[in-house]
Amino acid sequence: MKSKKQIPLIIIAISVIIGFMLAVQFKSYNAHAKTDSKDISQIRQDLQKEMERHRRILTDISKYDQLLYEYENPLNHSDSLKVMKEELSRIKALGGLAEMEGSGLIITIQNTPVDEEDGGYLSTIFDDDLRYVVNELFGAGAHGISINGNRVTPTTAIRNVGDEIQMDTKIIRLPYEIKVVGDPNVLESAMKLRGFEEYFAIVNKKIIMKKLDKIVIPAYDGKGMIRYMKPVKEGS
Amino acid sequence: MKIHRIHIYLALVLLSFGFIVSYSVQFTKQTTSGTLPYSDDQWEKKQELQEKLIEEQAQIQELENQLQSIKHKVSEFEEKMGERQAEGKELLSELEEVRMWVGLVPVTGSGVMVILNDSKEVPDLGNVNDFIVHEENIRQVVNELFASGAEAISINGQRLTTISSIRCVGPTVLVNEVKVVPPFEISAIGNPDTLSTALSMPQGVLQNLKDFTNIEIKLEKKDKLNLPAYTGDTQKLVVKEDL
Repeated sequence: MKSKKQIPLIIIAISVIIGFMLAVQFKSYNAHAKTDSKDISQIRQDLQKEMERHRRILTDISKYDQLLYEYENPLNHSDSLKVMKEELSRIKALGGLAEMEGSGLIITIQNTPVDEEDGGYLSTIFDDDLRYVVNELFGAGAHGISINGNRVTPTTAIRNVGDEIQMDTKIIRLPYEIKVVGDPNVLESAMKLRGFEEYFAIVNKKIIMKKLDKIVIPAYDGKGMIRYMKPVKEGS
Repeated sequence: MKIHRIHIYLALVLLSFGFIVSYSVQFTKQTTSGTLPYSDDQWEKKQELQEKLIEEQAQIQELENQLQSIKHKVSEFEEKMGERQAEGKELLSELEEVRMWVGLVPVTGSGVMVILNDSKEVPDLGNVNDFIVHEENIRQVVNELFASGAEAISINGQRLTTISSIRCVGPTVLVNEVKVVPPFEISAIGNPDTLSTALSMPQGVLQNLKDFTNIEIKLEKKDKLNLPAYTGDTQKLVVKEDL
C-alpha cells in the first residue's frame, strides 16, 4: 500500500502526459489543415506566373528606356519628332487604329451543308462563341484581329442584337473570316487544343485555318471616343 | 485489499487516457490515408518556394514603380517638345489620347463598379458550378459595358487593352495572364447612368446572371474611379510602315 502522499503526484504525472498528448494532437491537426489549402505545385504555378509578369515588365521598361534615350539624344529637332511619330504609330497599331501586317492565320467559319431535318436552333452561332474565339486567340499571343474586315479595338464589343451579331456598330454575318496577326503555328495549335473544331461542328459549322507568312488587317474605321476619362498625372 | 478512493480515481484517469490514445491512433490513420503526408524535405522545399514567390512579388512591385517613373519622364519630355513646336503639340495631344484609349496610362473618371463574387452558401445538393463566378460571366459583363459606351475597364487592378484576354486555367481566372481571385471588381469609366441602366435593364446581363446563377452581384455608380495602366509586353507588334 502506497502512502497517501504519493497519490497527488501520480495524478499530476498522468495529467501532464494527457495534456501533452492533447497538445501534440491539436498541433498536428492544425498543420495538416494548412498544408491542404495550398500545395507545392500550386505555389510553383504561382511562381511561374509571377516570373512571366516580371519578364513582361522588364521588356516594357526597356522599351520606354529606349524611347527616353532617343528623345534625350536627338540629332536634331525633326528627329525627336520622328521618334514621337514612330511611338504614335506603334500605339495606334496596338489599339487597332492603324493597319497591321505580319505573319498570321486566317480562320474561316462557315456553314457545313446539312440535311433538311437538321438545322434550326442548334445551327446558330452566338456572340459568346465569337468572343470566346477572339479571347483565346489573344490569350495565345495574337497581336491583332479583325473579323470580316472589322478590327478588334480595346473597347470592341461583340453582341447579339436581335438575330444578328453586331461588332461595335457593324452587323457581321456568316461566313466569318477571322484574320489574326501572330505566330501562325502557336495560334493554330491553340485553336486545336481548345477543341474549337469540335465545338463548332456541333452547330454544323466548319473551321478552315490557313497559315500565312504575310497578312494585313485593316484599321478600325471609327475613332476612339474619350469623354469621361482623364489621364492621371504623376504626383496628383 | 480494500478499495480506496484513489483506485477509482486512477481507473477513471487511465480509462480516459486509453480512450485518447486509441482515438488519436484512429485519427492519424484517417488523415494519412486521405492525403499524402508532408515529409520534412517537402516542407523545406515548400517554404523555399513560398519565400521565392514573396521575393518575386516584391521585385515586381519595385519594377512597376520604376516603369511608372520612366513613363512619367517620357511624357514630361514629350510635353516639352509639344511646347516648342506646333507640330509637336498636335502629335502630343494625339499621343496622349491614343495612350489613354489603348490603356497605356493610368486614367481617372466617373463610371460604375460591378462586383461579382462566389456565393457564400454552397448547398450540399445542387451544382457547385452555379455558385462560383466563371470567366465567361466576367467576359459578358465587360462586353456589355463596352457595348454601352465604357471607355476603359479594369478587373482587380488589371487594365484591359486590345490584346487582353480573360481566361480560366484550372480553378483560377487569368486576366492579362495575371491570376485574379474573387471578388472580381470590374471598374468601368463612362457615363455612370448609361452604364448602370444598360447593365440592369430587364433581360439584361445582370438579370441573366441572377436568373441562371447564384453568384453575388453588386452594381455601384462612382463619381471617381482610378484605373491603372496596362503593364505588359506591347513591344512585339509588327507595324506597317506608312508614315
